Amino acid sequence: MAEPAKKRVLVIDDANLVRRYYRDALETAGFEVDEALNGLEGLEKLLARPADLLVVDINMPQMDGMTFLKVLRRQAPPIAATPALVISTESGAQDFAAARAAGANFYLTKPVSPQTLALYAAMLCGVPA
Amino acid sequence: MNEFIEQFLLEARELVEQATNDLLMLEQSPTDKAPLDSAFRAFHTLKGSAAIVDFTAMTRALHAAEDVLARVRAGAAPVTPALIGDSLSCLDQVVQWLDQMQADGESPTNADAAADAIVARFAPGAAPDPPSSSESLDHAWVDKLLERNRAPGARARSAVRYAPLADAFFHGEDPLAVIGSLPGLLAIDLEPGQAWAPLDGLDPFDCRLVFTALSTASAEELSHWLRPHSNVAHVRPLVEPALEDALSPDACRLLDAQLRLLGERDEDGRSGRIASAGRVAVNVLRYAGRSTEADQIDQMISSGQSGRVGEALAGAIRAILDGPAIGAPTAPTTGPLAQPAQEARILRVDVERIDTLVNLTGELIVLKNTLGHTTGLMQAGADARTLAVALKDQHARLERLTTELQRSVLGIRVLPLQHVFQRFPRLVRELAASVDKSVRLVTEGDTTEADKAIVESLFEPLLHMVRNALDHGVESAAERAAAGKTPVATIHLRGARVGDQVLIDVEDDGRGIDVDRVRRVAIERGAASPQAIEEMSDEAAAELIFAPGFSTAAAVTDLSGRGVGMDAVRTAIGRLGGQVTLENRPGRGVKVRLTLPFTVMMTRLMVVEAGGEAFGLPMEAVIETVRVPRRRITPIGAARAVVLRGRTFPVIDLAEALGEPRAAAPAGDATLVVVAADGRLGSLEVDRLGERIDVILKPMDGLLAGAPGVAGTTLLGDGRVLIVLDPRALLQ
Amino acid sequence: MTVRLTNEGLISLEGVVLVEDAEPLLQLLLTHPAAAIDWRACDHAHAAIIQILMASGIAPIGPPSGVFMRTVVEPALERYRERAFPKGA
Repeated sequence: MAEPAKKRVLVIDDANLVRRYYRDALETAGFEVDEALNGLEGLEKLLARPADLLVVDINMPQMDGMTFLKVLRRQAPPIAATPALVISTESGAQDFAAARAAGANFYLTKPVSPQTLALYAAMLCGVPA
Repeated sequence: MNEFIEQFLLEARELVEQATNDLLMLEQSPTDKAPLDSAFRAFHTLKGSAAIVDFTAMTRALHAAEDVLARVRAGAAPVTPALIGDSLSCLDQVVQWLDQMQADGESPTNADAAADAIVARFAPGAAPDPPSSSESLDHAWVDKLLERNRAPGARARSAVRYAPLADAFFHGEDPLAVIGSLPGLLAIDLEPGQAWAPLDGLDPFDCRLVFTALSTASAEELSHWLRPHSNVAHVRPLVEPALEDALSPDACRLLDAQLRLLGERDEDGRSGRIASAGRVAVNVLRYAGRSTEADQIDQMISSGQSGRVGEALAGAIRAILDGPAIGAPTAPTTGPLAQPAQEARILRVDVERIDTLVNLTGELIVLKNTLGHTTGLMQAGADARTLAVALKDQHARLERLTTELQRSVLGIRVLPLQHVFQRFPRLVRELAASVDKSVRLVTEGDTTEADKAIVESLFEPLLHMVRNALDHGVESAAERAAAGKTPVATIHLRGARVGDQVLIDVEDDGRGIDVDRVRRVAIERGAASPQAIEEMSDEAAAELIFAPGFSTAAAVTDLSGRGVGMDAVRTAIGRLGGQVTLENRPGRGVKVRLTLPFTVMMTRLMVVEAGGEAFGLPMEAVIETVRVPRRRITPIGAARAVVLRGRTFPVIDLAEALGEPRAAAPAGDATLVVVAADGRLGSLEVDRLGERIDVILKPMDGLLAGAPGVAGTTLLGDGRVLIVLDPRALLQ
Repeated sequence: MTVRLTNEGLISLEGVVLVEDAEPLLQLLLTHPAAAIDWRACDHAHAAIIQILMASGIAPIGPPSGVFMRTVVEPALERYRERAFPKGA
């Protein structure tokens, strides 16, 4: 039986360590991972090649996560519908609300364990349990 | 050493160095934003990294510093030498910890005291109280909470009691936000910790609140979530409701988040948000192995009209989250999806209309019986003349009944314009505010009915027209005052039914269309030749705003300058079989009128190809299609004919009749379409037969209006225009 | 301004109402004891604001615009008012 295609996750975070950590957790769980350093690069990569899930940080130089999400949701249908998971250190209700208004599908507060990340990625990408 | 810790140490040292430089620069120039932003970002990233290596104490210390810097950024606190000093001390402590980690290869476990000291620096007098050992806390609160919230209580798996410290507000905490972020939150109760002082003696910064909350998350999960508040929060597991095939709390949380996302009302990015919420809902259900529901939702989002998908999707998700009613002895037999999916398609129908249909059905049955009687007479050998009279009568009755039936059924499909008008008052308010104009919207005739398909397609064109009126028509208050007008402009949105047509006007009392400017712009953009434009009447020139490309303007404004202009409105309305007309009153306003058919009459077409082009033939005129050997087509004078079943039909070469030159005499069999119109019969020779489609036929206007043999045009799904032929003209 | 007195004499809570707004809100309530509170445009209110609403016993004009405010906080506030300020008391 053919192996189902791996789901592709695009991690957008300016911190090297964070990206490395997510990549490790997601690859272990069977995802294909690509990285971008900020919203602008994330958008370029996404438009060049669609992803099944976006993991987005909020505080980033050049284009922050909120702007990225707003621009994302204005794109044409298949790209605009890409699920977006925000993972940030900000934990206030106003941060959750702002991310949601920008178009985030879910919000996790750092730190996120590899297990939690893998679990949410699987649910957001529709990988059967 | 763990490679993460290795990388963490490397990065953390760089960040400490950067933050130190930034802080020193900030001290030199306290009003400079750049070093402040940079320092903030460094603290922020450092905090995030510390969290990843699970170094809670360091996270806490950095968080305190970051908070203060955030306040400075927001302009809520000044840059003081003390602040710079405290921040640098925090970094010193971080370096000490990093050294220790370098030596031990893991996060220090004894760092809490040092972290507390740093936190205390940033929030004087705020040293954390020792965790209260209130194991014996009275649990009566759980009973009270459940008693006050019976419905959510039935679904809850855990209860939380959270009593923030009195100085929580001083620490920059928002306990309500903490509660609001709890996973699976169902309901909360608010209580004062002690009786309130009278208002004039109330200290607004003294936190007296006690929150109790119910959640669908497990007690373990909530405890994890509330870890930073473990000294003031208590979590109690409740008896778990037995639910077969229940979604995991995480899955529920995700679905719940999609519901909230769907609740966002900003128009910008709305369709993207809805599409992504839909995709996530589908994915979560796939993950949970509930593929039937996943497929149903998938279908719902791919088939529905964008305006309705959001509501239908929210309904479906809510139904899934609510699940089968707990403890209800008789669960509904329909799937949880069936109801909301239907709801979105439910139409309100007058009882009167149903009665008409019932009566018509009764008449049809009577007619069917009469026909049965006539066939009986036929079998019994009744004479042809008697039968012809009976059949002619019955045909006439059938014709009347089917016409009435069609009208009644179409009548069911009507919706009041209110359906689309009601979205405008709020939109106009927001749009007007965004361009700083005062506008009053008056809607009239919103009970006017039109075909459901039309009403549901009107929003976008109307929005565009209203935006245009607001943006280009309505003047600023000053300009209005100078023109002697009331300061508040009025936009009328008016619907009316006139015969078989529905008229919708968008009328403003603004400055009207500057025809000279339109001429200039049209010439610039090459909408027509300069000479033609100069010669146009003012009315015709004003209509140039509908010309394709006219408004792909460089003069982009917030509202209407989005690269699509009034030509898009004209196209959209044309698709519905309607027309757009303009009444320009310079200095006094503009009225744009949509004239739409009351019902959308669907015409069934057969697509045929002739001379390399596709044409539509109304199916009602087509009798049959045949292929005949070419030798059976015989010339009769200048014309040709074919004998089919003993009857002679004229053969008309469609390509030739439409003026398409024939390159060469075609070989092989001829494909003929036998058509009837106005009592005449004939056959059209075509190159190829195509599919059969249902379309809205649009009468011809413009260039093709006078073309013989053409009944109208229709837009195909791929945007091409299909010319629909008029068999009557072809047969003459 | 997230807390302000409108021309109609309403105390209006708008957008994200912060802890800093608690003091002005309290002052407004003390200087305009008869004023109603309108929080229909409120996206989020800090706990300090909710505390003042609870202590005053005023039923704000709602529903607030924030989802959490609308679906969770407003009903809780209403239930509290019913317990603490029963009708006729």
